[in-house]
Amino acid sequence: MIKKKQQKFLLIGVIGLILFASSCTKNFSSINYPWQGSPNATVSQLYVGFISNMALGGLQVGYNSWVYPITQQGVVYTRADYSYGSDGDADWSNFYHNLANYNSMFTLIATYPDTSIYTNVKAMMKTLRAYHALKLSDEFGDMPFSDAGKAIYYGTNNFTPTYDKQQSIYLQCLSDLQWAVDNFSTTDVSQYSIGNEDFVLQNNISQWIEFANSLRLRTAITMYAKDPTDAGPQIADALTKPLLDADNTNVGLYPANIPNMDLSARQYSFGTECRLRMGTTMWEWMSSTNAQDGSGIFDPRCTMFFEPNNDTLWNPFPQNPTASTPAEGGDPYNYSIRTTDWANKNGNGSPPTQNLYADFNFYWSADVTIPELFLTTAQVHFLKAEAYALGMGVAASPATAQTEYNAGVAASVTFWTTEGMNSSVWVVDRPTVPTAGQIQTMLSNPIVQFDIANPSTHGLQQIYAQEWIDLFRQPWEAWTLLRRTGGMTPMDPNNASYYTSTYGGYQRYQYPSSEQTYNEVNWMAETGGHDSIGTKIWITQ
Amino acid sequence: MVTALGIKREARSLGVSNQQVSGNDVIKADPPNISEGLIGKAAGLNVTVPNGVEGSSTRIVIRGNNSLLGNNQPLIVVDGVMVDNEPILPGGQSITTQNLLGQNTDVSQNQSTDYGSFLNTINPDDIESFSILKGPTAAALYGARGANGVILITTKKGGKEKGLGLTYNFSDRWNQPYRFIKLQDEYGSGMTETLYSANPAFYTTSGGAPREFTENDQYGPHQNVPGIPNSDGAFYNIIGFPGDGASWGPKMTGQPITWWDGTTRDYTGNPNVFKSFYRTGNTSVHNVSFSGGGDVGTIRASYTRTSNDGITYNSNYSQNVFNLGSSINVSKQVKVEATASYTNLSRLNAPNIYGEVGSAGALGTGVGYITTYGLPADYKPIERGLTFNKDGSQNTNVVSNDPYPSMGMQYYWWNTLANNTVFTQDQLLGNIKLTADILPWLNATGHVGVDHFTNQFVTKNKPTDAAGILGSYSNDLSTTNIVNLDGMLNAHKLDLFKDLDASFTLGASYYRYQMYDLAAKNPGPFSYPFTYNLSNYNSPNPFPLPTENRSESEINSTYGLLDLTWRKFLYLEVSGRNDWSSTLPASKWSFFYPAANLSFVFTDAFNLGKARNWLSYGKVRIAEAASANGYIPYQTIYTYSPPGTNGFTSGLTVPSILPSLFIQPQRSRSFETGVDLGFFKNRLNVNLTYYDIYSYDQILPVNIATSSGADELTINTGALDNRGIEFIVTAKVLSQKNFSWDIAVNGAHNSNKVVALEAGVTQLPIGSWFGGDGVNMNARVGDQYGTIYGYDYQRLSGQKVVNLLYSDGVNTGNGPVVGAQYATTSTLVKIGNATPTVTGGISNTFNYKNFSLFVLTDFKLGGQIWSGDYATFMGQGQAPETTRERDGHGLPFTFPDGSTGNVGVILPGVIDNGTAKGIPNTAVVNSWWKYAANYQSWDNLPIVRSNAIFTNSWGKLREVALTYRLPVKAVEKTVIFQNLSVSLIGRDLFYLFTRLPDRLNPEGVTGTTNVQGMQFGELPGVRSFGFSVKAGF
Repeated sequence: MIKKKQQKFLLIGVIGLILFASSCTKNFSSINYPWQGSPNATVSQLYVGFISNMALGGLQVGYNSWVYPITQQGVVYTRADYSYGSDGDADWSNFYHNLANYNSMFTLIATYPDTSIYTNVKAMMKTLRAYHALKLSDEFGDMPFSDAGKAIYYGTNNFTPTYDKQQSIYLQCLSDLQWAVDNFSTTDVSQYSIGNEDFVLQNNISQWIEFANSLRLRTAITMYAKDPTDAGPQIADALTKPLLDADNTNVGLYPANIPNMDLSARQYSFGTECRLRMGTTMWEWMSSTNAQDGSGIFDPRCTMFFEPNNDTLWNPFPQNPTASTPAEGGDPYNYSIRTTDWANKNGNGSPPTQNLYADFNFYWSADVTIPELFLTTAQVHFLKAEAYALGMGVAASPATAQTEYNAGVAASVTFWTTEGMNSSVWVVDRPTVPTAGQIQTMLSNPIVQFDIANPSTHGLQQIYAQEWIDLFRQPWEAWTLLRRTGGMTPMDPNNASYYTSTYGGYQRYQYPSSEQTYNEVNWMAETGGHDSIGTKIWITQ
Repeated sequence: MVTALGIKREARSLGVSNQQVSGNDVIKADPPNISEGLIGKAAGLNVTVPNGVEGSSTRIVIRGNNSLLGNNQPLIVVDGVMVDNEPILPGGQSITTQNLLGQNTDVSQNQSTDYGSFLNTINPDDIESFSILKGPTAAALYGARGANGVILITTKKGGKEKGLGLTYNFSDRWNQPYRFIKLQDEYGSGMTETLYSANPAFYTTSGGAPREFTENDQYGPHQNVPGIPNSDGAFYNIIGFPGDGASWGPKMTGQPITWWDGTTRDYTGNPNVFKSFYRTGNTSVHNVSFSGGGDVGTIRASYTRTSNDGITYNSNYSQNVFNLGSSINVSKQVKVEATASYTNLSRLNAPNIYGEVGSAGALGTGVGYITTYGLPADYKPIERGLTFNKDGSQNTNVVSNDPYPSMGMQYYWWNTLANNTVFTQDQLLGNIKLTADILPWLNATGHVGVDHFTNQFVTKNKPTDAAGILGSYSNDLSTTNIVNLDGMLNAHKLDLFKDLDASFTLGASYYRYQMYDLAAKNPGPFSYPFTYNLSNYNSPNPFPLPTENRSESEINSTYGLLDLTWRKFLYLEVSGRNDWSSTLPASKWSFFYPAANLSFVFTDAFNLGKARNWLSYGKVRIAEAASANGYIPYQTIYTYSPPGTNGFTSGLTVPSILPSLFIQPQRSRSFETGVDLGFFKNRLNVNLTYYDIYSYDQILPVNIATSSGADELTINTGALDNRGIEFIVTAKVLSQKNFSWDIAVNGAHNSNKVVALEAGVTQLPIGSWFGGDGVNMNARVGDQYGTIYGYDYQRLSGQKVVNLLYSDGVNTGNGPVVGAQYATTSTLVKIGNATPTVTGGISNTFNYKNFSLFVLTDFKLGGQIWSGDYATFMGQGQAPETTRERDGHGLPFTFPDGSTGNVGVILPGVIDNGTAKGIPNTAVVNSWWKYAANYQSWDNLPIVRSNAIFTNSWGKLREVALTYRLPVKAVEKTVIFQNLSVSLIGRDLFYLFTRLPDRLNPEGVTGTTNVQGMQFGELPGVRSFGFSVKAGF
């Protein structure tokens, strides 16, 4: 009997297993449900995800290696080890991942029963997308835009986006910015609020309007020389609406507003094979003499942006060095040395090499409070000064240009010295905010004093120069200014052929190699197989 | 013969190739693990044993790679329990998952510490036999997981024995590093100084005495190439970064110089800079087993203890294996087979072989990396003795010493001796199988298999300070549980119709895999000195969050199997299987695949007449099968990822790898045909097989343009085709009363082609060394899998193009020539292929009276590697080849300082002057340019890589065992012994031939992943000598 029972038991078991195995998929969905990440994302979460891709991060290594010497905001004493365009590659990746985030968010909003309460969020996103797209387009020129960032929809065509001309990108962004300015609502309390997660402007819609409108002004002015027909009316309209100078707002990612914001990449960009030095071009705009004791310095930003060499001498590195230029050494950005032995800029080599030239201020690498900027009040003033100096979209007015210029200089000097003063790490030569009188003194320095008699020539150069100084921590934007003004930003005239042969050929970045490999047809249509860094982008004069 | 699902069948009835290897054959020469024991013994079975470190993982591939990115190793089935042989990784990680998620692209940064794989821990003494089911044809019945072939392992179940049934085996083996790369020992460290003067001066101490060269000197006052403006940058922007081993310095003639530790020593060469990093290792194994049997059944119990001291310092392991095998006849109709095996492995400091950084992210743990990249020809091994202060703390003078700041040499001995990671594995493998004859024509089988194991990694990094505070501690524990249930009903009938026997099997199985890992790290500083736990933490920084990892999947299957036998010489087997895999989208959970094979024993079917005198046996076989497979878990639902940057972790972004929302199972189909022949009463046996395996619809993450918003997309794409032949010849050459000689030869040729990728996808990166401008292995349509890409020489009418450097740029023609360098192709091109042409083994067994001599050689012909070591040593001026001109055998040359020497060289080739043929290069440059400027291994700029590609053909004397068995009469006299034998053993003794230069290690390939064409930071070749005693009581 036992045997039979056993046999029956086994038989039933085997048949049971066969039936079970052929039908049991009921736990499959839960077994394969991802345990990491989130299958759903809210509007706020996607917003923060978008912002995260706007932080500078590793791009700064590229700025320190190439963009500073190109703009002459700084100089490198020997060619960089980092390859040219690495920041462009990183930005490319950030932007297109952001386009996917943008499209995801808009798709999500479209599924909600009442989409009208997301108007403010849409306007914020359109503003941010315009900012990021224009930044990228100024690096590359034409690029995929209207077809891009759509792989999330899985259609075959979405994997190989076509290229848009830069003019078209500018016009689309202008249109988005105008939509934002016209549709932001400060009064509609039903509008969905990002709340504390709005790391850019803390959900201050008035400031969002100023930001969108100021960006519109900048965009229109940047393209004005190439397309005055489209740009002129935008400038005119923007000037009638609130701009960032209305309440002295500087837009960017402020560590104070973003708990635990990771600024390690900034430190890394100075700590790793950084060869930046103060160049003679910037020195010319900050000191009235070449006295190495710094007695000629009239611009309070000088001692914040830079510091003297190991012998405490203000010795800028020649912007265009010659064979007889003494070689530079030292280790002025070594975090562990400078934080324990502040005066040692030579480093601890055996024997140590000599830091002969004035450096970028070491505190840039140590600071954890200064924002990563998008757009400043000072820049808005300079843009207005430019518009009135040249009569872009408005009637020319040298007096207004001067007023805006002076206001721009004052805003810039005040902003930077305040940031330096408030930075917790700044100890030695900590900046102080100049008084109104001190600013007035600076404004009356012959180098700074606005040439109201020649507003569209020398005066214009002064506007660009001060804007160029204000853009010290936005070198990519200074590069755009350099190109769109046809090289009217400051340039050292001594041995200028060095600059032309060394950096003059760098007009744009090459597309990332993934474009040639994985978007070959469209890449070919755009480049004809010759993706040259020497090709001028559309906005370049 | 044991076949799929453990079904025993007559060999003659099989329509597929199924090679049987006995357990005794595998353990003849005391292999460290069963994979190494299988080397050379099965046709088409390729075993990679990288770097010969015992306890490291092994890679087995049968008949080539079937998966472009996934696991290509066969399924291992031990008594019905399915396991795999992937390398064990911390964090519950799996190489396959990492590959498929694109995380393993740069080989230099991944998985350099090798903790072994499953086949390391299975005890060879407990194995009865191996059945090697090749390709999906034979593995169709293992479903998805058997697509790469199956190795069926049957353990010993005991049997009736004479005497007590006790056996004791002991073996002891010494593992000696012997094959070190050959380097020059004439010229000491230095980099560009040799370009400035025929008599480069030493740098001096603050006291003015000549001192040792440091890395800072390399990047110091002479970092620029003489004749080129400073603003053009340093030498490494022209030639690439060298390591600290750069040996372009002064001739070492015994002159006294000051070393980094302040001591003055004679400046002399070191003929073997590697030697002080290795020692002779040892492995000893004790095995006791009991076996018995009777009417009720049989039982075998065994215990094995293995102890190993590694060839690197402070590295060892020990392993205990308890094994129980039994077969019980419950009744005439019901039989139970039960096996259980418990393994406990404890491994201290598995060596970090080729990595720049260790698993803890610390510099200075990779022995291969440091010795290859960081030690100049004047290296003197003094750091080890200076590592510790008297109070046990770290000597910071060593840590901050100058010669090797970036390579980590200054940390090596501290990390090796004071930072301890213990890997512990506890594994229980159990199996119960019940078979019952329910009716005379119907039987049922039920089977439960469980594989449960934990992997734990505990790291205790000794505090570097005397107070015992600055240490760290981490603990990582993963638990894996694999269950499989099988049930089968088999109906069989002899003479169902006239001359036709039939058997039908209906079965089902359930397979579930679950893994959970939890890891945490206390980075220090500690509150309490020298106390290692997670709560002993004293820092204002928040304690780092622990990490988790999970993996879970389930496969359910039903299958049917019909066997028909006609007149005992024609056999047909038809099968079909349906799987349900949890890893696929819901609409694709279920998938079906069929198989069939036919075997025809023609020697029994036809009257062969006189041919029968020499042809004893002949069979032809043919098979066609399909197989299908799911994917890795959690990839079918779209999930957003949190940004990795601090400050933004409350956000979510679209994932950069878009998941596989629309995938279906990946599939393969295979065809196989072959012939098995026996001659002269089966004294000579020949098996020949041809196969073609086509693996398609592979699920892969393919790169897409980032401008689409994502970097990769997972889809069904790509196909690989494997075609090849295998042969096995066994012969009893001599068979006399006192002397016999048996030969077994096997060999295989495989062609492994990438047939298709997604339209628009030009290539699939498999892996790279240093990425970008380094060396890459990519799969491109039409290529052999394993093709190596890199820059090659640019040529004009077949001549290499030389670029001449002038002070104002390349090829400007203005002024004197400063240097010369070969021009590279504009893009990465095919420079090699890792797939061997033929692999195989030859074994000879001689028996003379009670002596037996077993000699196994194995060989690999064809297949290339890029040798990063060769490139490094040529570029760093360490290879012996680089001294020719420095020794005065070059052309007359004048240095910038006016000094002269016969160190000049003309790079053979032409200058591209716009004409079709160019003009011959006649520029004499310092020979430094020939080597340093054309070989560096780093990737910061394009340089020629094809000059370090070698065809890696070799033959090796793998195993020698000389055994003496005590004669039966002598054994009987002892009363206590039933048998006694003693063996002398040699393993990996030497290479019969190799085509690599400078004594490079032919088996020093990097890692056991799919990237098998790169070699960097190899360890020396290791040979073993030992003896074993086997006694039965």
